[in-house]
Amino acid sequence: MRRATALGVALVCASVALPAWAQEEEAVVVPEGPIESPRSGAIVVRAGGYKPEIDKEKALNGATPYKDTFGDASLLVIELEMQRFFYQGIGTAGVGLSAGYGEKYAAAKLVGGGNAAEKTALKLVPLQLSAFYKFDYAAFEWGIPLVPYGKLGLVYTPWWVTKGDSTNTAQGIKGSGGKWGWAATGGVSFLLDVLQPRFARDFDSDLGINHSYLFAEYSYADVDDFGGAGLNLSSRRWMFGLALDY
Amino acid sequence: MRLTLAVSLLFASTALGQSVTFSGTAIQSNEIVVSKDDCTNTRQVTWTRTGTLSCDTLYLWLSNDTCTGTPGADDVSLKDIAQSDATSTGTLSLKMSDALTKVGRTCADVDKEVSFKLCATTKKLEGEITTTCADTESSVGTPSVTFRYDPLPPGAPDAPAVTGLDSALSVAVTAPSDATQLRVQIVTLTAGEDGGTPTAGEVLSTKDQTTDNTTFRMDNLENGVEYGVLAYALDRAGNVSKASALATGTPIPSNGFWDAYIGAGGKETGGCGAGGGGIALGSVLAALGFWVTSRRKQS
Repeated sequence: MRRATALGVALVCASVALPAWAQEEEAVVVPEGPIESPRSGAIVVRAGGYKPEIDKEKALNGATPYKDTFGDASLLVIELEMQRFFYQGIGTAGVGLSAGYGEKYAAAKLVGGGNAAEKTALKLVPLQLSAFYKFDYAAFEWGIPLVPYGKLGLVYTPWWVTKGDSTNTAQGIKGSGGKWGWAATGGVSFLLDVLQPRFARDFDSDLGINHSYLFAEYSYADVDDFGGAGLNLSSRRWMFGLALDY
Repeated sequence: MRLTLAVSLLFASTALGQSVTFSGTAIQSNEIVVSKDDCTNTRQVTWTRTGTLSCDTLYLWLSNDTCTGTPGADDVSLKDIAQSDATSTGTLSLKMSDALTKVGRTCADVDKEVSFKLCATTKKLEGEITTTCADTESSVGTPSVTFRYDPLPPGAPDAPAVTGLDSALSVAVTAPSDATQLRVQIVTLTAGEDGGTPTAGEVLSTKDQTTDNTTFRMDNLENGVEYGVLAYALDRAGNVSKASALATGTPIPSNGFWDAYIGAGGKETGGCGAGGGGIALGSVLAALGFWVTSRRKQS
């Protein structure tokens, strides 16, 4: 009887458990927390001052044509960068391509040194291909909204100088060209999502923007054809901007 | 019943909708303006009509009054289109001297603005569902085009403000209110008698600009040479004002940043940098840029 009872209990348990097991196979797993769209890249907009180290060119022997013309002022540069992520784990790594524009105007100089009525300008288009890593693991996993990052890139900067409404030419040499170089950048981003989490989720569900950041970064850029002769467009500069992960 | 009414209205509106459209480059802001110099020249206007002539002939004409009725003795008849004529487009030749002749004037003796209306008139049906025609012709032309004779030149501009640039002069002109264009002439200076005030000599260069841009840059001048500068105003008819008072200016050499850099011993020679390597690396950058920006987000 005991054996029969035990068998009966076993059958009952099996009859209850088997359908449950079968259902488990078909169960829909509902993730905890809000669903986030896939993240594959970022758009970055930044601006800042760019003071080229033109006056440090050795051939100038201490002459300061940039300072004499433009004073101590920097060019205002605005840049747009497109990033593509190829690693997302403990942080995010990828490549980025950026393009910018900067210009600085000043009065041309008369032979006697006074200001002429005409304007002269230095104009730049900094282009950069860079590899980057940002430690966003702490922001996403631990809720710390600061994301430190670093970049290393190849730089090419087309430039030209104008006087009046045409390119400035001196001693038969046209004032335009391009310079190669490299740049290292370090910065920190502030994850804006923590300020308005609901808005951030809507931003993702409506537009596919996963995260948004404000950032500050410092760049050490040597743009002098890797130590070659001629115009030195190297700079040490701070830039500030907005980044959107998508 | 409703369909019948709709069809009736459709046909009726087609008959009522006889309209003539005037077009052509001569029409600017619904006006054709001619100067004294152009008084005897012909201006071409294209007309295009739609709909059917249900009642009467279509008259195309120049009126010295309003666009109602038919051309009178003091109007210029341009074209009559009979009801049976299926022509839907054509060209009209307008000549101001003809219009002035009709009102007993000539190009030479008119010293103020005179206007005529370009008209298209015909008798229209009195209502949408009636076949009764109106007693008089009314206007069916659009837009309302005025054919205006403007024999008066605008006032002369004040003496322009001249600034010396490197091998050039910057000339700022104040435009009179009735001007639509400005003209600047660079002239040689002829010395006055006994060292008196110099006068304008040979014209070296001329530039016209609309009044949207009243600052002229006059290039290809010699540094250190004093030039004379004259400004003129032009109105829509093309009348040219008298010359402004003579201003003078001298191009002055100046150094831009590039002059300063090269003058200080800078070794930059321009060019794209790194030659073929630059092109190759540029190509790599372009390809990577395309890759970074073209890949679609997976969802």
